[in-house]
Amino acid sequence: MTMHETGADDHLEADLSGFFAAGLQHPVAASPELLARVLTDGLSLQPEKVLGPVRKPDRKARLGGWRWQFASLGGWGAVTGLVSASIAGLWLGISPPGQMASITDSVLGIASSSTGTEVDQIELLPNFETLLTEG
Amino acid sequence: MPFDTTVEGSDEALLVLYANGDPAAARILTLRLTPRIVGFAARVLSDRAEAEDVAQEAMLRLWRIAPAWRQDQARISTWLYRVASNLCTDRLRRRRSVPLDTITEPEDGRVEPVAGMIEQERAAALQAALAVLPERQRQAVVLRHLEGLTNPQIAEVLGIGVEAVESLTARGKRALAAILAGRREELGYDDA
Repeated sequence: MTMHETGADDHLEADLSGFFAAGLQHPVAASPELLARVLTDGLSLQPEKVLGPVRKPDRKARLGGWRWQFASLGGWGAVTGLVSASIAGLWLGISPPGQMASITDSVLGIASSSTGTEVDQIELLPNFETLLTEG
Repeated sequence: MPFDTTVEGSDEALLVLYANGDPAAARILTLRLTPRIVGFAARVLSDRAEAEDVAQEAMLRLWRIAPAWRQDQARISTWLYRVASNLCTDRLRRRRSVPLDTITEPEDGRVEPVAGMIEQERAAALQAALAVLPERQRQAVVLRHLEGLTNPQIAEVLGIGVEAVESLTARGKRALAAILAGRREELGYDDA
């Protein structure tokens, strides 16, 4: 923009400034009826009020029955561990290793027969040979 | 009227509140934005009834887009001006002549009677002169000098470059000055 154009624009601004000021003093006001119509539109189109974070469906309801119980134990990993531990415990009960007797005796404070100390033993269940001979 | 224009908060924040179901946000946005849009449309259309229709339609589109409004979009006011500008253009294309008789009413008690009349006449003369400008020049001048938008904002509203906005407003003001030159003495200007 040249100096001549700048000067012309300044003169133009000065010429029009009074008119623009008058225009700003007399704005077109929005009528109360228009405001009411706009607000009515806004309220009628307004989405429902959001009361809080959206809740996910209940996990129990989504899984249902035994699947929920399975999940509540911790899933496949946890259930596999539980089953393994149960089988191992059952096996130890059926066929305890040889060292278990001495460990048991030491824990209970009872010497085994090999140490010369007598221990009264009661057979609550007859063994297999007794069953064969006595029926 | 139970509106509150003094509540702080950007238009964008209020629109989020509106979309979340806050009725107070709807009221504040209505009072804050509607007068600006109806004022702009009235300047461009020179018709209050049509301007109110444009403002209501523009606000209706805002309400509808509110739930999907992205915060990285344009400012809401700029977006609304753009919608109103397009609606005004559609209406101007549909009609052949522009009525010049819709002029703003003076507000009581703001200025002394004689001075108020002169101010009112100047405002009326400005509106009449605006009405004969080419539509794009009129929109650019109104947005710049009566709505207070910056040139980049006007560029966004009109969908043109900033240089084109400068050109439009410059040509528009030269045309306005030429139209109003013959009425300066009548309207109380002493150019001697």
